[in-house]
Amino acid sequence: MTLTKVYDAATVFKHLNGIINVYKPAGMKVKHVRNAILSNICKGLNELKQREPRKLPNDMRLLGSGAATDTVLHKIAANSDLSDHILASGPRYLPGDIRCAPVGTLGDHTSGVLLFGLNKGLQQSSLIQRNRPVRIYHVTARMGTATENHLPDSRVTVRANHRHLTPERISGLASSMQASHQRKMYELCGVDLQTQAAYELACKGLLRPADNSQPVIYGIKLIHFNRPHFTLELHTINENEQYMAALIHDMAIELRTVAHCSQLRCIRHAHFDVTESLLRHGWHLPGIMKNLRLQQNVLKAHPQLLDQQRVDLHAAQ
Amino acid sequence: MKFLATLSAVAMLCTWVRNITKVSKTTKCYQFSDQIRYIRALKRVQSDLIVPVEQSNVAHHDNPVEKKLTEQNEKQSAVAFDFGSREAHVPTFNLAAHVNNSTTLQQLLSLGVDLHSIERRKGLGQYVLRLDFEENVKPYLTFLADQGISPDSFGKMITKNPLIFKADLDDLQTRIDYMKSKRFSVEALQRIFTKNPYWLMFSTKRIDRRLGYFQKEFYLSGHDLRLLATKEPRLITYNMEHIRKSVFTLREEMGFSNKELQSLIVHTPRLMMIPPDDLVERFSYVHNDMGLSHAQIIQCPELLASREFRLRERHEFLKLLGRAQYDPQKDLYISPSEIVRGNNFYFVRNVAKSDLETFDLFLKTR
Amino acid sequence: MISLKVWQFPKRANLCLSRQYTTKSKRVVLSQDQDKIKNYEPKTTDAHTNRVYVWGFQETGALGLQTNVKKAKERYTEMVHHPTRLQFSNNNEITDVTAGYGFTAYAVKRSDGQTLFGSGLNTDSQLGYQVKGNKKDPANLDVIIYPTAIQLPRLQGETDEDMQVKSMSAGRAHLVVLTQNGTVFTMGNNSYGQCGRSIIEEERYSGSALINRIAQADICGADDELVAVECGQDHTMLLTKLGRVYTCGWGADGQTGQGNYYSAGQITLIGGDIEKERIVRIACASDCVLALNEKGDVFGWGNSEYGQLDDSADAVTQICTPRALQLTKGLGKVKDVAAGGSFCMALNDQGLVYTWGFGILGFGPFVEQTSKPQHLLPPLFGRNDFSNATTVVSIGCGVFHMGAVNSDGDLFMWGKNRFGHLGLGHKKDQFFPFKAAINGKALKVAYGVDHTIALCRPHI
Repeated sequence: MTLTKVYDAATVFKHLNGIINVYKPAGMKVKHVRNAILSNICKGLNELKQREPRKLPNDMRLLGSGAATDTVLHKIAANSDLSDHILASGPRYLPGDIRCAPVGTLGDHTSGVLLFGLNKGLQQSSLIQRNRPVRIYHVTARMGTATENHLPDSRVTVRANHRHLTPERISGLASSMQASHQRKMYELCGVDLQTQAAYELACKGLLRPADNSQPVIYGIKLIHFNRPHFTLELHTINENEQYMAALIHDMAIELRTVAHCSQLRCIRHAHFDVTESLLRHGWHLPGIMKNLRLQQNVLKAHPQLLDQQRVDLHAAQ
Repeated sequence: MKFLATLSAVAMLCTWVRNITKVSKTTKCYQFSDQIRYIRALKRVQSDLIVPVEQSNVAHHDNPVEKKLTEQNEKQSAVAFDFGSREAHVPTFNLAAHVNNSTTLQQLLSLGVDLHSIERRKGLGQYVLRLDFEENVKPYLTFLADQGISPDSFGKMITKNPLIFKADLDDLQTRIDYMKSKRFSVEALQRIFTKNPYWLMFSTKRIDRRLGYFQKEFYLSGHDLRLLATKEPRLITYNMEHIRKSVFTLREEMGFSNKELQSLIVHTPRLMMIPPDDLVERFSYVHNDMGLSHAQIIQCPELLASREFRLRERHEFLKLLGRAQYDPQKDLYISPSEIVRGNNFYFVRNVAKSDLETFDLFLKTR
Repeated sequence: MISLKVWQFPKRANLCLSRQYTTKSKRVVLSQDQDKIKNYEPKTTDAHTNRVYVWGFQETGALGLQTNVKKAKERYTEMVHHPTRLQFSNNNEITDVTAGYGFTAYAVKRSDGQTLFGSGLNTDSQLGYQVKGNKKDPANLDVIIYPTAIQLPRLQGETDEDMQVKSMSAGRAHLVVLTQNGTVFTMGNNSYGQCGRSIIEEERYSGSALINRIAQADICGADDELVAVECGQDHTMLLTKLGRVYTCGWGADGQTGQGNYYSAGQITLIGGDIEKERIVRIACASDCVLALNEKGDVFGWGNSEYGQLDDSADAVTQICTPRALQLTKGLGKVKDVAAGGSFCMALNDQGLVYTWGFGILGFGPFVEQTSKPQHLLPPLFGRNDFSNATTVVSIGCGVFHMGAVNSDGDLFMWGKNRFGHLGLGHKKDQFFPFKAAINGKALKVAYGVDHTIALCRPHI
């Protein structure tokens, strides 16, 4: 399909369907991101060429002289319906006209990939969410201080010495936690462990949990260590921000120190990557349309995103 | 019983009107007398009424754009609502219903007044409807024109403050004279009234009190005060509590001396309108994380007036590049005011001397 | 940088506030007084490098968890389903563990010279002479609930270093310990000569203080030294540096490999197919023995009722001479072997675990018996998309259950679980490998018939 320049708001609105991949800034609520995007889209749409105000039927005319000598009214066409004028009836496109729903939420402190479904793309977005794809996070922790809610915006509760922590120790604990979580995953897959079905599932490798609310971590790995910070890569399902922050805290307690989570970043959501997500300065209509196209390509390349749920799980998803 | 019936009729009509304006963007509109019959019957559900004649829009998805455009144009030449003989009894919920019949509204429309935003505010729609152009509006417009305000800005001014037509013309004149007596120049007055249409609604006593507050609080000279008022006219009619709180924050919590405060205020009066929590946040970032001293902040108060996330992004980008040097003695000095000037493109190109891709990559690591 | 003005905020928080939050919460954070924050100094319980986790049947006292008999009676303590840390290991430096049938022995390093501790059943004095009461009328302790010292008889001139345990193993009712200076100490039941001394008719083993001491020169000569000890149910095997194997004990199933089916108290060198081989590992839990040479070939002798050693139609069910196994050819180079009551395991250099025989082999509930070795799939041991370099590094088995340790230090167990000795938290049988939750990396695991002991390294 060739790309053509469109100057017409109605055409653009008709094509405003699909999934967009937005880079959510940290500290901003998903609600606010959604409102910002919708208001920017409407602003953009209202600046494009709108349709002209309707015409009045020929037997009705505007009151007033309507003659060419009238200084005011000669500007307005003789039979246009002024009640349809933009200044009278308001902007043509309001944020409430566009349907938009996020595919899974991110916490307030989390930045990274956030998917929205627009208009006709809502069905796709709900299918993706139903499939519970794996999300990959880079979680940065700061050793030596613990806060009330394990995130940086609350009071500091305790301090501790962290000189004894080395990257090897952290990775050792991380791999043990990974194995324990994978064991929990077997128990959560909803199959009795004594059966043949459980054996076959176990042979496949990783499984999805049967319950949609239990967070399961498939992979934890230490990727960066720079005292006093270290970064973990987490592959998880059904998680939320508080769970990950608490995980960091518990890991640190296990390692005889304290830590809190200082940065949470979602770098991948199923096959939607952070390289294609739209940054804040691109949240305008042309940016969004381009993003819609790109994500459509991703969906075409991986149709299994919209498939029915499967039990086994692969890291590449 | 009849009251309830009319209430529900009103409610249904309300939603019907809203639906019509929504649907009419893409579907064909047609005569509504039969639809009014339905409403009067009070029996039908809303969704049954709005039946577009053809869903041809959906079918034409894959056609080239041009064909669609022409079709759109055809549909746009639709007719408006025709209430027929029942016009007088149909209740209305917006000014748009009256625009076709009222000269005043048409005149205002031609001036560029946004009727839509006026009617959203309480009571203003009703008020504007009852105005007569020749009697109520025109004298004021001539008055404003006499002050030298260009007619292009009438639309914005009326949109912001339609109640100006309620004020007494003599009062307005007194206020203008008062301003002139305070040695405000004609251009200054023009700018003030254009930027802050509410100024004229304040009596001379109130304006005087507020100007006096600023003068006493910051020991401003007359010239400075006039500069302040001209730069940011909204300040004089702003909520005094907010201003007091912001001033408290600036003075006590951030530790600026009176002289420093004075220079800050005169340079960027907008600082006093920013909520104190935001001010504290920005100041703490600028002073502690960026490491700028009070003296440096005073030289470029725009830093405190820009949003914190922007400061943070740009400062950290500069730090990443190693160009976050705010000490004029050392080389590679970047003036802090340059950081907040301009949009991202300007900043990345000229100040950070890098390219947008790097900036994007950096932003995605935060 | 800081001006001299009145800066009302107290000493600023040094948090990496790299995120944007609500201004109210940030104000709270900034105004926090830094001097009042407490310091957290956690107690590090580990002074020692290793810690021991135990689980399984507790009534025999083999786990060594209880310290007070009266308290033990009050609580339900029949089985310990989850791996539990042994307090004894926090107070002592434990270097080695071994498990017998209902008792456990620990090799420790202590300043007072004691090198061997044991807990569990002591009906045949397999844990030495343990009595209580006064000296005039001592009452023998048949069950020891907490690890107590086993006094090894010392000759003059032997230092603590000499007495450190090099290798040890336990069978049904006997314990064999090899110390650093090459002395073999045997204690416990000797009805079949498994203690390396001649069988005395109607010997009373309970309350016996006899610990037999054998110098390695007497066993293997002066030019060879003993490196490892392995015990089956009622027989003992000793491995030397040159790869020779010496055995004694019960031979009714041919497990002594001496070419006959008699019990012998005399320790003799065995030949057969391993005569010219250099054996590096012997494995046995009850009466089937597997031996591994340095090239990766597997040899076996002993009971083969379930086709563990020979699956041909006319196989002899008891093999009394070591024989090279045909059915392990094709597994590649074998790195480790283990033999249980009715099944056998092998680990090759690819990290694949092969099991064969009869019982719960790990292939699910329907597979009860295989005659040819089959390997368990790597995903069962933790190999998946997130850790695709994980392999199995060691295997082991008890009489009814099996276990494997992978490269991350995770312990996977499967088999019968009548006494909760798989450590999975329940008493149900486990038909495929499942990770036991141990807070540490498993170094060595000792498998008894109804309990398991794991020697671990902590994460921190």
